[in-house]
Parts: sequence; C-alpha cells; structure tokens
Amino acid sequence: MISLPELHTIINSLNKPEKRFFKLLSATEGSNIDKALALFDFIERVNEKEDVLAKAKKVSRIDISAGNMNVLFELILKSQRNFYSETITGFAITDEIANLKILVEKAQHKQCRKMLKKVKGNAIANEKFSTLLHILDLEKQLLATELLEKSYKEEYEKLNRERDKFIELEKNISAYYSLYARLRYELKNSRITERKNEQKFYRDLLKDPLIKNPALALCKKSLFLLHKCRSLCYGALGEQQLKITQLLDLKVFMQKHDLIFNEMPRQYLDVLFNLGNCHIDQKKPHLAKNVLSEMILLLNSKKVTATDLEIKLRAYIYILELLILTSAGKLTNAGELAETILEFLNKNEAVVNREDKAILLFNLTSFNIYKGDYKRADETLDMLRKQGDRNSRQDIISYSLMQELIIRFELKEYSKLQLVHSALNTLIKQDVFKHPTEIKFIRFFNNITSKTTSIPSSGNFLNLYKEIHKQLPAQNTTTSLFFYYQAYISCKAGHGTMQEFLSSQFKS
Amino acid sequence: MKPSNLLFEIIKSLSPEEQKYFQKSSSLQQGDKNYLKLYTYLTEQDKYDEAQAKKHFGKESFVKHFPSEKNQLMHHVLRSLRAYQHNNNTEAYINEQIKNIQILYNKSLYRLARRELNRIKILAYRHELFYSILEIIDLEKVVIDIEVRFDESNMILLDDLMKEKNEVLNKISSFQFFEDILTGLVVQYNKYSFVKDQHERQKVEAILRNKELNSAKAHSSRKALIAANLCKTLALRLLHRNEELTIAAANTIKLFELEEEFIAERPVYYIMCYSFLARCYALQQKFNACFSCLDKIRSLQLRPAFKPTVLQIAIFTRTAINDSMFYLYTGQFDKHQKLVPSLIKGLDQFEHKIPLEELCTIHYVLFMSHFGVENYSAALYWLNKILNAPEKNIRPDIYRISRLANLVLHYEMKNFSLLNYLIKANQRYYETKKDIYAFEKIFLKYFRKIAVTPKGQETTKLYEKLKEEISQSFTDPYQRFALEYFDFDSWITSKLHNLSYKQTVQAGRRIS
Repeated sequence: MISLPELHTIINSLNKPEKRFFKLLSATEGSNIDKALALFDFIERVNEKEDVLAKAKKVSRIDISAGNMNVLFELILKSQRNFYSETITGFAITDEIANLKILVEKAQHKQCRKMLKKVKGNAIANEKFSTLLHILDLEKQLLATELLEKSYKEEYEKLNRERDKFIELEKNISAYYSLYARLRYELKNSRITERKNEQKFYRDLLKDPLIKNPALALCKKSLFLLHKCRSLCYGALGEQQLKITQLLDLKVFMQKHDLIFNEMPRQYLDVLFNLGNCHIDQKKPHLAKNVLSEMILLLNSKKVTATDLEIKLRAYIYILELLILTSAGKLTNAGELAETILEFLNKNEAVVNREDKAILLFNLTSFNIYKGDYKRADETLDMLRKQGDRNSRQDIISYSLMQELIIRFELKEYSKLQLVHSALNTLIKQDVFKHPTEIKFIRFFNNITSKTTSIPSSGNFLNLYKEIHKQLPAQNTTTSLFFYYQAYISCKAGHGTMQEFLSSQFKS
Repeated sequence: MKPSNLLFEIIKSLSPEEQKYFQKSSSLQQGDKNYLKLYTYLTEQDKYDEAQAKKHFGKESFVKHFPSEKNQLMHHVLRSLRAYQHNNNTEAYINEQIKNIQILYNKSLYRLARRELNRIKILAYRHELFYSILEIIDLEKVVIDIEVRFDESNMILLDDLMKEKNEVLNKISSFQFFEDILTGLVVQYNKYSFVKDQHERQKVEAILRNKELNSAKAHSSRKALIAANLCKTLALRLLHRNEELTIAAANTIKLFELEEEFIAERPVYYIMCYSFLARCYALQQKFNACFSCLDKIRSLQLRPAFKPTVLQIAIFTRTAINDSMFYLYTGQFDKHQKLVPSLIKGLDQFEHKIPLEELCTIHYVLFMSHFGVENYSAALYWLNKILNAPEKNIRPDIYRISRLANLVLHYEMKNFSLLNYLIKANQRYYETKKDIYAFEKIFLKYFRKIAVTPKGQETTKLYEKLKEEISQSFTDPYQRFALEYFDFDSWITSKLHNLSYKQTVQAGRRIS
C-alpha cells in the first residue's frame, strides 16, 4: 500500500516530459481513473516542503483512500515504464523477450527465430546471463517446433553447453560479489577490537585465487569486481600507489566497456571519486582537478539520466571540489561552495545517501574549522551527529571526534571537551588512532577539564607543532576524510592562519 | 525479396480483446496516425497482398516508405500485446513490476523500491519463476548497496543474496536436467509414438529406471517434479505400458492441477497428458472415461490461459487426432465423417502453423476416414498430401504406412496400370531401407502377386498366406504399432470374406 507522502515524493520526482507523458497516457485509460487524476493534480500543486497529508485533509473533494492512491501509483509507474521502455537496456531486453514469447504464442516461429538472434546477441553483449538462460529456453522451444531432423540433437546439445556456460558465468559473478560483499562489510563494520586482524584480512583476500588470478574472472563483470576488490584492499592497507593503479585500470576498463557503466554506473562514480581523493592525498591537485572535470562532464552528458545517479554524482563533485579548495587554502571560494552544498543537502535531504551526506558534513566542518568559524563548525558537526552513529563509518566517527575536540576547546565548553577526550582516549586504546602525531595531538588536551585549568598557551602549541612536524601527518585509510589538524596546531602556534598553512601544503 | 506477411498474420491472430486493447492504446498519440490507417485496412483483408495495399494507399505519402510504416505498426501491435499480457499473465506482470522497482530506484525512492521488490520476489518464488527471481536478485544487489549507504542494511546480506542466487541457479539446473530428458522423449514421441526397436526400448527403460526421477533433484521445485513426472509419463507412452501410463498420466495431471499457473506455463504437456489418458482408457475399453478426457481437452479452448493461437492449435490438433483415432480404430468411419468438416475448417484456419508431424497425422486420419467409407478419391487426395510432402522424415512411420496404404487404395480404385508402377517404386524404396519391417516385406511380396492375379481361388490362397504370415509378424510388438494406423489384418479379412473394411474393423474391435 502506498502512502500519501510517498505519492507526493514520487510526483515531485517527475520531470516535465514525464508529467506530460503521464497525462497523455492517462487520457487513454478511460473515466474510471478520474479520481486518481484529481489526486495527481492536487499533489502536484503541493510544495515539496509542505505537509501533503494535512493539506489533503482540508480538501474534501480529494479521494485519499488506499484504493485511489494505489490506482494513481500504478498509473504513474505504468507511464514511467512506457516512458523509459527504450532507453533502459534492461527494459528493452525484457520487452524483446516478451515479444519473442508473443511470436511463439502466435505461432510465428520463423520471425521469432530472426528476432531471437538479435535479442541473444544483445544479451551476450551486455553479459545478461540470467536473461540468456531464459532466451535459451525459448530457443529450445523453437528448436522443438522446427525439428531440423539431422541437426536437432547437435543444436540441442549446443544449447545445453551454452546453458551450462551461462550458469557457470553467473556463479562466477556471484563468487566475486561475495568477496566484494565481505570486503565492503569489513571496511564499514569492522569493530575496533578486530582492528589488529584487519591487515591480515586484506592480505589474505589479496591472496585469494579469485583475486590473485585474473584468468579466473570469466567475464567482464567478474573482472570489474576483481579490480574493485583489489583497489579496496590496497586502500585499506594504505598502499596508495597500488590503489591508484587499480583505480586507473578500473576507470579505463569501465570506459572501454559500456556494459559495466550501464550495469554499475554508481561504481564508476565511486572509482572517479576515489581516484580524485587519492590524488589529493598525494598532493597532486592538478590530477584531482582533472578527475573533477571528468565528473562534471559526466554530469552534463546524457549518460546520467536517473535522479539517483545525478544526486550521487553531484554529492561527489561537491566533496571533491570542497577538498580541492580547502586543501589548497582557497577558503573564500570554498565558502561559496559550502553554501551551495548546504542548499543541496537541504533540498535533497531524503535522497542523498547517509554516507555521502556524512562525508559532505564532515568536510564542511573541517572547512569551518580552517576558517576559524567554530560556531558554524559546531552546527555542521551537529548535523552530522544527528544522523546517528549506528553503523556509520568508523573513520567518520573517529575523525569527527577530533574535530569536536577542537570545537569544544575553542568554544570553551570544557566539560563537553572532557567527554570527547575520554572517547578519543578509548579509541587510542583500541588502536583506531595509531599514528604518533594523532596520539600526541589528542593527549595534548589531557588536562583541560575546566575554565580554571591552565589553558595551553601558544608556547605549548608551538612545542606540539615542533614535535608533530618531525613526523609526517597520518594517512587516513579513507581518503575522502582529510582533516588537517596540523593546520590548527600551526595556527595556534603562531605560524600564521590555517589558510596560509594549507596554501603552503598545496605548494609543497 | 517477397514482402513479409508477418504483420498481417499477427493482426489477424489478434483476439477481439487484444484488438480492443490495441485501439485503446493507440489513441495515446494525438493526430492522424498512418499506422492506424494501415491497421484498419489490414483487419479488413482476407489475404495479404502488398501490391494491393500500396495501391489502396496510393495517394498517401507514407506509401513511399511502406516497409517502415509496417515496422512502426508491428512495433505498436507488439507493444500493446505486451501491455495486454501484463494484465493476464503472472510472468508478464512480474516483469513489469521488476521495471517498477528499477524506476523507483532510479528516482532515489529506495524504501519504496525495497517494498515492491520484497512483494514481487515472494510472488516470483510462489510461481517458481526462476528467471524473474534472478532478475530481481540482480536488482536487489544494487538496492542492498544503497541501503548500506543509508545504514539500513549491511553487506553480509549481499553475500547471503549470492548464496540465494546460486540456489536458484541450482534449481534451474535440476529442472533443466529433467527438461533435457523430456525433450529427448518428446522428439522421439513426435516422430514415432512408440519405441521402434529393442535398442530404443532399452534406452527408454533406462530413463524410467533413472533414480534421479524420484530423487531430491526432482523435488527441488514443483516445476522439476512436474518435469520428472512428465518424463515417466512419456517414457511409459513410448513403451506402450498402458496400465502404468494410466496412473502416471493421472498423477502428472494432478500435479499440474495443483496450480493453475503451471498449466498456463506448460499447456501443451497438460493437453498431452489428457490425450494419453484418453488413449489408455480407449484401449482399456473404458469409453466413458476416454470421452470425458477428450471433452476436458475440448473445454480448454474456452479458458483464458488457452487463448494464444499456439494453444488453440494444440487443442485443435490433439482433439482432432484423439477423436479421430478413437473412431477410426473402432471402425466408426461414418461417425468420423461427421467430424471431417470441422477438421477441414481447422486446417484452413491453422494449416501453416500446425507442427508438421501433427499436420501429417491429421492428413492421415482424413485419408483413413474416407477410405473407411469407401470414398476413395477423397481418400487419395489426403494420402497424396502425405506422399507428396517435401519432408518425408517428419513422421517416418506414417509415411511408410502411407506408401503401403497407397497400394491398397489404388487396388480398391482398380488403378491396375498405375499399381504396377507403384509396386516397382515401392520395391525400390524398401530396397534402400535397412530397417524394413517383416510385415512390410511380406505385404509387398504377396500384394505384388495379388495385384497381377485375376480374382478367384488363386487370390484367396494368396490372401490366406498373406494373412498367416503377416499375423505372425504382428506378434512382434515393434511391428504391431502399424495396426493402429492401418489394420492390414482387417483389410485382408475383408477380402477373404467379401466384407467391407469397415465391417471387419468393427467386428475386430467391438465397442461397448
């Protein structure tokens, strides 16, 4: 059963051509959908931010019964199916199979044979192996009607061999997906206590025959997942150069094979995004900018048609752009972008996924800290916190605590600072923060418990700066999270503004 | 290149409901539509004549790109048929719902997509639509990925999903295992109806003994179970083990009838089971049970699931063959004559779409019907259709019987001059055959003599010898099948006792 707010969301998601097509289609449906159409018109006029349920209750002529809402929902989906029938590959193949079945039912076997060849070729090109199993069934049915005496047995056995091959290929893809799933689970959900075993997990995975030996990846989809798993493993192990090599391979591979982009467009966006992050991490902003340009080009191309994809791509572009600007110390430009990002998040609150939203808010907090606007930083951090910590990415949770440490200190909220500090100490014990610079930074705030406590002077910060400066900054396992706490220390130590620190980093 | 009349045939095959649906859906686009003009014209024609059609639309500009206009119309007709099926067929419905999931997902409405996905997956599992389940799992992979990003799922579910997918693939493999056996049996059945020698018998018996038919593999899905039961049923039919076949066919029918959808998915096999059962009852002289099976097949015509042309054809051919075989086998040629107009009407309607092996059988029953009532010229007309067909190997058993029956027919028609030539041609034909049956050899040997011997005591002796020797050969189960097509024994008896063929057949197979 569909609810009124859900219908409201769907109708709001329709663009003008889609709405026009809906009206055209509904005109052919007869008069029994009049009430549903009236409901559509009513919902269409309700603003995105308004409470559609409250508004509907005030209008007596609108039928918001479950039955009518369902009729409207079905009608919208029908119009969408027709609207996209020829543009979505999966839809086209499904329709072609349906056509084949119609021709079989209408006993048009010759024509069916001709069409079958085309559909099969299309499905093979798109590695739609489960669809191919379906097509093979139809082909066998046809063969039985044709009864080509001598070649029948031979043909049938050929089809059986094809079937076994397609099943093997599907199982091969499944095996790679299972590895990928375990890897992603580990990356996202590994508990801190298991952290010591992490390296072993990724190293073992890299030794898995499926990952080690590309010859075991029997199709392009499997090969894609192989590269993807490798890049995730290298990323987790902090082997940036190997990760970049894998990501570049993946990018070229996806550009070369349209079917992978069509099947897994989100993965392509992930590849570009990760690549951009790696370049920033390696302080190669020109390369990161190139990736950003590629993403912008993609956004304007016809390849990205689905709302979901567009939002994801926009989120990635914003994150990458903000990172490029902030890490280069271009805080004025970043300020304008930050406003746009907040507007974007506000507008697409329900549809931006939690992970992307968290990364955006994390980076906005970093930006506000660099700018010295701690109140604003507190606001964006609060937005991040409101998302809830359950199952959030471990790195976001930990590094946002580091941001909070600075914010509480600057806002002189010492009791809260104590709580944050204690949480960070636990993370040190759990080996989440392993790098000496990170540990030194956290321990620096050890004794600040109240206003009365001696607040560290710029001299103290200078000492910390000197100590930390001896060592390279810690590398994050997830490169989309860059928080240069060193910039803060440098600023507090009297070495100029954070912006200046970041600019110098950029130049170096 | 000859213009294709596929479009015309499809338009002509549309049911009134489908026509109505097409007209309704074609009003989606506004303005004058050429394809609709073409559609209206084609519905009014009895035969497709492209030159005539072009002449009819001579003043229209679209006549210059007539093939593309035909394509356009075809595209719209298929589209409307797909949409029509969506309302009348579970698989089509589920496939449309899968598209809905993709749409909701593309619109970032993940929760709704997940809800629809769960609903449709249950439905697909209930109907064991394995290929649709695989499509759904493919979509679910992406949905899980997104849910993980929204913290509403975890990646272990993806691992579980892959295990689920492998299970579905295993179910497909199990089902296909029986399907492969079944297809082999069907091919054999379509060609001969019986095992024709010891070697074939052993092969089919080995299938029946295959433990997999009752294994966990057979119980991996209801579809696999039906396929396994169909294998048993068909094997028993080929082996002519009628007592066991009665039970097996009834069991398979029961399995089918547990779920209407399975009948809709494999209607031809369902019809076939009833047809086997009818035959078993007829052979057991349980004529009422036989007729109720035949009536059951006939009644299927009216069920919506059996509306598609291919099924209407299957019902027509099965009914035509079963009814005919019953009347002809029991010598009720006069009664069968009443069926002839409906058979001819069916042939006119479907002739080019009827599977060739069944078309051959129908031609044969029409020959036998006319032969039985001594309308030899009509009998010759139908027999020639078999003998002059370009492909002789569609039903080799019927073709070979027809060659011998042709001799008998011309003998009855007193075409002695032609008969001489035919006997020689037949001898040449059989000389090239390694697998000539004893009864064929015996019949040819004596018939040649009978044909050239004037009627009298000498011919009676020849008939007696023929009867004695041929009866001996019919004790062989692999040769006995011939009597179901043409009762040589009865024909010889009719000649010996100066009776009609009809009388002797009736006397031999008295019906209650």
